[in-house]
Amino acid sequence: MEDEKEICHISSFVVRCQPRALTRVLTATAALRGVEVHNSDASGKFVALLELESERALVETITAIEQLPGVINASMVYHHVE
Amino acid sequence: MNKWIAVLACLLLVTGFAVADDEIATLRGAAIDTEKEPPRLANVDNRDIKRPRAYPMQPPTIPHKIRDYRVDLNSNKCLSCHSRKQTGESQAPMISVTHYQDRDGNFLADVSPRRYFCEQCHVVQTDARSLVGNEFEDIDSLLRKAK
Amino acid sequence: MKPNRREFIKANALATAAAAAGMSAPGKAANLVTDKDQTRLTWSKAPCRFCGTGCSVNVATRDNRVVATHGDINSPVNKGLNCVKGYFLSKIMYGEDRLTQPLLRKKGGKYDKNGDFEPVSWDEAFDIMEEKFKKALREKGPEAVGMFGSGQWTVWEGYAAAKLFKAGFRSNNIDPNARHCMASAVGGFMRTFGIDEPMGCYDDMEHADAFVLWGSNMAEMHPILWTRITDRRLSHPHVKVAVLSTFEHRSFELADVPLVFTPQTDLAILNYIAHYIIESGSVNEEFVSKHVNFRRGNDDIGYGLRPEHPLEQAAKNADKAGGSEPMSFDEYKAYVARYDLDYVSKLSGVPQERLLELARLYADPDVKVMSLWTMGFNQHTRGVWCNNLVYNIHLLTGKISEPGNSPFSLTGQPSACGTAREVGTFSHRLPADMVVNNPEHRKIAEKKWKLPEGVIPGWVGAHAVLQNRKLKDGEINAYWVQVNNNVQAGPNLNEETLPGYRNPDNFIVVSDAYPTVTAQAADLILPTAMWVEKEGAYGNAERRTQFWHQLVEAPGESKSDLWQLVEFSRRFRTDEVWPAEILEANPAYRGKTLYEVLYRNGQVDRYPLSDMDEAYGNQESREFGFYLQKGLFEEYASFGRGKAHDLDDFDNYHANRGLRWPVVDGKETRWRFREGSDPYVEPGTGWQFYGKPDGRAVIFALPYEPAAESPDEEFDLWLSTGRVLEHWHSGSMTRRVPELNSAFPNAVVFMHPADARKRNMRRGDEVIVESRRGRLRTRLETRGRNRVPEGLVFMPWFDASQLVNKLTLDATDPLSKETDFKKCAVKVRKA
Repeated sequence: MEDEKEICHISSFVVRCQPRALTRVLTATAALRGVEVHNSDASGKFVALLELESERALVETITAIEQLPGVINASMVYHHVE
Repeated sequence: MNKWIAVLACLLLVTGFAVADDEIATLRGAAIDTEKEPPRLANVDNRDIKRPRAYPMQPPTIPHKIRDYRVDLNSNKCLSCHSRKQTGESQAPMISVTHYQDRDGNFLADVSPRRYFCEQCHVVQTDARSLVGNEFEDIDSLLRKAK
Repeated sequence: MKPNRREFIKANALATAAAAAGMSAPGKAANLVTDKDQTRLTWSKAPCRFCGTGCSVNVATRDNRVVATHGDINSPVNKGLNCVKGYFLSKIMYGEDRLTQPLLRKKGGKYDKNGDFEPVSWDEAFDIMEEKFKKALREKGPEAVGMFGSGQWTVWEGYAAAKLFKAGFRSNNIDPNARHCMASAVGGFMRTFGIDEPMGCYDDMEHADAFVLWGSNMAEMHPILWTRITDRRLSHPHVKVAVLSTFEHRSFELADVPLVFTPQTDLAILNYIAHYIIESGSVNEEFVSKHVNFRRGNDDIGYGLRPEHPLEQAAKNADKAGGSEPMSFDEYKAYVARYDLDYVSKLSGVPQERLLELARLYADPDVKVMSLWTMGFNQHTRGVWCNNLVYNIHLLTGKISEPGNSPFSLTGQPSACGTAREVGTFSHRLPADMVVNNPEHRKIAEKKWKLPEGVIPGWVGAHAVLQNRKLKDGEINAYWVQVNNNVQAGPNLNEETLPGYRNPDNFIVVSDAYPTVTAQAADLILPTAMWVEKEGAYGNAERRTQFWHQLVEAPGESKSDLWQLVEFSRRFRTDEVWPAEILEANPAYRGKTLYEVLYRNGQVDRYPLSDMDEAYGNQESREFGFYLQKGLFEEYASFGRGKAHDLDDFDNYHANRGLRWPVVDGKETRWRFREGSDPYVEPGTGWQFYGKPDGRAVIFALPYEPAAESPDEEFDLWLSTGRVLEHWHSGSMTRRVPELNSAFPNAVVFMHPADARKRNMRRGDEVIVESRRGRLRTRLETRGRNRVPEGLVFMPWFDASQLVNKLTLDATDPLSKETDFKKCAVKVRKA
């Protein structure tokens, strides 16, 4: 029952990076807590799915992704709190 | 009770066991010449949660109470929230676009009178328990199975 | 957050982002199937399985399952709409307790009337059934076997059954449940016009200026026709709607002129309107002088109870209920004069101004009036009279057979017209309105059927209520029930129905898709294919014949009623069932099976399998080796062609959305008896009621007479029974659809709040409703869709756990033999 009361942020981002950095960025991103990566393509795009307990954790995580070498930007597409 | 019926059905159909006559009519479940206590009046589900439809053309069931809703020659309480004009105010779902078409498919300025009596297609749901399960499968579950 | 909700949100998050990035979502998160091989559904047309409206639906199938249904936009009947039942047709075949094997009562491995139901093979099922039918035929003759069928049979099922019983077993003890439903309407048509079924059609609804509902709650029982009337009323402000009933129901929501009358006084109101028309000088004299005869019908005709009942003993004309004699217009005028406003208002409890308002609609020559009725008229101990009396009004004013002027008898069941009536599955009828007690008609039928003269018996068989009495009395001993639930429907369950089913001398066979209470009372249950599990044809209330294909296979060993009838016929030889003298005179028929003489007769079997549409299955035809449905239909259609009952060619019906007979030169008929629209009317006549030898319809002088049972000091309330929108008849299909069951889960008894207070009862209380014949336990309802007046209660009959037919009286209209389910006396007390 406690689980149900826990706050949960689910959010998805489209991340763009330099194509040659893609593999490295994907590995590094996937290693972060609460993050799944999906749908990458050769142009350097991929989708990051974040599932975290607070807004703060969310901001910290996306900042960490943005600061990875080779990342151009990360834009939020979807956010849901419950 | 549902499980009991399922078990019964299995016994009957799979293993060929006999079933007594007072158990066979699933919607009665008693001898014909007896009288069981009738179930209490069911309560209308008022949680306002949308229910999935079995297929896209199924009219949605009503997720709230409609007691004393007046729908007659003079007024239509349902449309006071669900008509196109009112949904901004009410935040209720707008009635389907098909409801603005006449018999011949022409679009009208307002709701078609043939759709005026909402409860001919849209019904409330209650907390009454189902006596018998239904094995209808929607297209998604058939597709999943096929994979 | 619950795990599945979490997954759902994640899938959405992912799909949205992927779409934003212009990338397709990965397999796990895909929320849209776009592969056309996967999303393509096979759509076919079929008429709805429920009421007599005859809506067309589109049915989607995939992998031998029905996956969706919706209203057919190409159907002129419903133009894309369905009622809530119709929208859930997809689920009616999938109740988890579908019967899939024959079940026989057994003890110690053998059939035993008091045994438990055990699964058996079809062979074993038919073996015992054959033994019991042969025993009854051998020992007592054709009168000892019987069948109760249905207005839900397909056309060819009813036709095959009528042939098997009337010609095969030589027994006219075959009747459809349409007896409970439409028999009074048939009686009314035959008596007034000499030919069955409405002269008008649904197109009248777009033309009428006024609608009058006489004992019909169309808003719930014919919802799609109600949408057409609502459309007309709300988009044409001059249009008026009058609704008459013994209590207020949903149709009153559209009523400009609401009239709640005391039960049975509809007879007086009808006569008052005739009186008003005459008195106000509104008779269409030209029409009346050219097209109408006047007759005085016999009165004091009894109540169709057992002959020893005091009411029958007291009735002057119980044995000549149908008699009548000619009278003049002036005599008729004098006859109805006693039904004046003062008297009728007092008798009926309807305020004078309301009665006047109603009468004026009919009298005004500029108002086109459509009268509509169903069970309020038909389930009436004077049901035929009610039908006659409403025609009187339309005939006096000439408001008939033209767009918008239409007395319209609505039909209860999907094929009460197409099967029960047109095919002639009633105990007194043959196809195309012919009757068994007319030797000429029998001769025609025998010739069409290529059978020896004298095979069809001339005695009128037992009708529905009489069948139950004869079962109880041990006179019918082998009995077969198909497509109906008469233990839940038939009147006076305790005294007149159940005893016959459980009579140790009787063997009862019930064919059904589900284990109903009738199956519960049976000895052998046959699992039956339903709706689109077989190829079918229905005929709706406006004479429209509609076909459908078999779209899926029936579950387990279920077989259609048609297969059951034809397969069973193989077990009988002419020598076993026909008298020696017929066979001596016609030796070619000797030693043949009934299958050979009835169905392999060179006509029914003349269409090869190659005539079938190969896109669809057809279990019966594949098994018997010829296109059985087409053969039966074409043989049947030969009865009506050229006799004002013309049907189109079989194949055309599979392509169109139905046609209204008579179909002459490929053209349907919308208004019968009217020159210009009915090909059978001779030029220069204007109107021709050609069902009568002189082309004139009959206005009948008939009185108000009281009901068979009225409230008294002890049983102080009227009981009316009926239906609700969400359930079809006994609920055997709709109560297995979760959404429909949940919407209206159980029967209740509707009572006026003042009556409840008087009895110290509150809404929701468990109450006992009791009549002289039985009692039941139910819950009290004092609000909701039905607002009953003080002194009357209403209870629906869809609920198998609350059998309201324990209370009803088996009084029938002596003319139509249809039960009055709307009137008996009960008392209600707290449990």
